[in-house]
Amino acid sequence: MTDVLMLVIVAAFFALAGALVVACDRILGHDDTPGEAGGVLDAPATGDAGDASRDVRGVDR
Amino acid sequence: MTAPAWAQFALLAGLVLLLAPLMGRYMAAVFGGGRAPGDRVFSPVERLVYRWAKIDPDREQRWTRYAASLLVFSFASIVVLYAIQRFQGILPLNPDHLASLDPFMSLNNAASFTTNTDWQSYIPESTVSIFTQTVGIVFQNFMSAAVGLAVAIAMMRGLTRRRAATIGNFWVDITRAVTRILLPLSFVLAIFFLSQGVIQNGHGQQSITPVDRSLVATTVDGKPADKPTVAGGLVASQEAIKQLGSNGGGYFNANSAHPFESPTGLANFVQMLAAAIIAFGLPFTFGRLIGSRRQGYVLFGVMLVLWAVPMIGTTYFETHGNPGLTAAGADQQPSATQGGGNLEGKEVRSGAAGAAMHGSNSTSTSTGSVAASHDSFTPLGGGIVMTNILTGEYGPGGVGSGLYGLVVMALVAVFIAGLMVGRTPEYLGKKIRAPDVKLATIYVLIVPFVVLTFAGITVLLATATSAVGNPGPHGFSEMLYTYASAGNNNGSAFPGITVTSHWYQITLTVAILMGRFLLIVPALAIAGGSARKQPAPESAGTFPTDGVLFGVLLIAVVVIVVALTYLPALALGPIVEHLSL
Repeated sequence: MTDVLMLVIVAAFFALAGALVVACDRILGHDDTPGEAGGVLDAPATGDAGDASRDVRGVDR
Repeated sequence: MTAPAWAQFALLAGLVLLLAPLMGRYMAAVFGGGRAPGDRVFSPVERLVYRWAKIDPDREQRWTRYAASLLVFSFASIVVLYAIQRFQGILPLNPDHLASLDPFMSLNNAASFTTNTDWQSYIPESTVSIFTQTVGIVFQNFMSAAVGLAVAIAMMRGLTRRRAATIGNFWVDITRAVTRILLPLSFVLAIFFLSQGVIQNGHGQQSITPVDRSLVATTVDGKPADKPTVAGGLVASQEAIKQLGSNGGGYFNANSAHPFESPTGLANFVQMLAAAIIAFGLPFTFGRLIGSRRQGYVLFGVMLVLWAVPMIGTTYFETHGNPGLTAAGADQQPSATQGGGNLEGKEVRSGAAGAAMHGSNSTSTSTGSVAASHDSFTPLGGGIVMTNILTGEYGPGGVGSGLYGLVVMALVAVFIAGLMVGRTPEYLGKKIRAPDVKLATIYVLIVPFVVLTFAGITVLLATATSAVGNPGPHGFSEMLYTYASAGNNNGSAFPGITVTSHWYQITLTVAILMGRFLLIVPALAIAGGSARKQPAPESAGTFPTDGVLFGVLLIAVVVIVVALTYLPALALGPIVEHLSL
């Protein structure tokens, strides 16, 4: 019984962390400044894990 | 500080300056996506892992999926480690036939090791089996460090990509972190520790006959007691990842003060270097991956200051001895028969300086290993190591967590600078908007909320306060340190306190979990939001973040945030204790 309680505590915490993910995504979603973050969620992914350097290093600074 | 103490500090700092850029360059190659050293060896291994775990290494993740993967992995890790402890009694590699751990302690340990905290409320050598140590705990030593590293790398990608939806693949990142960084370095380091006398065997407790017969205890009847026993175990291999991964959990209760974990002064020195080197290397990785090495130099400089100043301070107070003992006429000066300084709770082979440096290093790097009892440090020496933890451990912080934490603080600094001088808040060409500041605020507030709330409630509970080992301000310091260590995922302790009650086990578990995952989520959100942005060209209103001025501002922001948050609590503990000496 105590084991179940322990696992419930952990599960409840990770549910909270999951809720924070949703909350943070909503915070980001509210940024609809033109030219900033808004409206690009449907943009195609740039690069992949194998060629991530193209993105990372390709920034013209 | 004595001349040998200065020499040891200078050598350590010199090696950090020498090795951190090399480490950073290697990690940039590993995570940059191009060819990396060792591809011919590591790539086949990684392909096997991907095939077995059904991971598509070419598929990147949005930040939400990246975070979800991390949370699912960590939840599963906690459940598995919990189960290993609960079934320890019937699992193999248990030569001492140790019983399974109780549910509360199992939960606390599972959360602790999965989050890179490695807080230990038990005596390892008489509580957990070799199987639990090796299969359960050491595995998490690797994986928790890999998770921190992955988040830092994802943060770097997020800051530099433009109009991108993804920040990498969590499964690929942790795999490469383990196969290419943590495992090879740990192997080399374990061999070195073996050469110093760290043990590596499969023995349980063994009876020994001391060379000095006076060490054989006697019973109340004056008869010889049972022979003393010493524990064996796979220590050298655990010691390596304990330090490299900024874990800190010891194979023995005395941690790195135990001669089987750290037998020599050289071993103590290398342990400090190992705990710092990956975290110090990450700013160089950062500079290379974002295409501006000067940005990396600034973060490295900030880390170096936040690491060196407290280390000098702690060593100063510990090598000068305890003022109370000086007033009582005790000789604490270095001489032919003693190293001098405050030697209470310290091993003579590392001395006051070596133990103090280890303590400051392990609290600056979020490692939490100890070469002495921090509880026996002078009030201000102990207060500094506690402040290292409360600072949030950015100098250089834990593996990965130090870097992404400092980047969040950099956003706060840029925002504050923008408010002060009317410049546009930008970082790495990305405008800092309200959502970024909200996320950074969540990040900054979580740990103080956890630490001060739990410590405050605990002070009011008679059953909890009875667990402290000392009355007055030192007892308060023990409680504050406990929750600071848990909330900041450090893992070290002021060991005068006994934290085996259900109150401490549960609240520390919650503090540990909140201090890890409720920080990682907003950090990844910042990365995800930044990846979506289009960089703006620099203008006259852009505050430069690649110079000394920004470095000074960043240090000031870290110090001011900590002072505003924790100074009242510190005044009730170490400060008033020092003044009462």
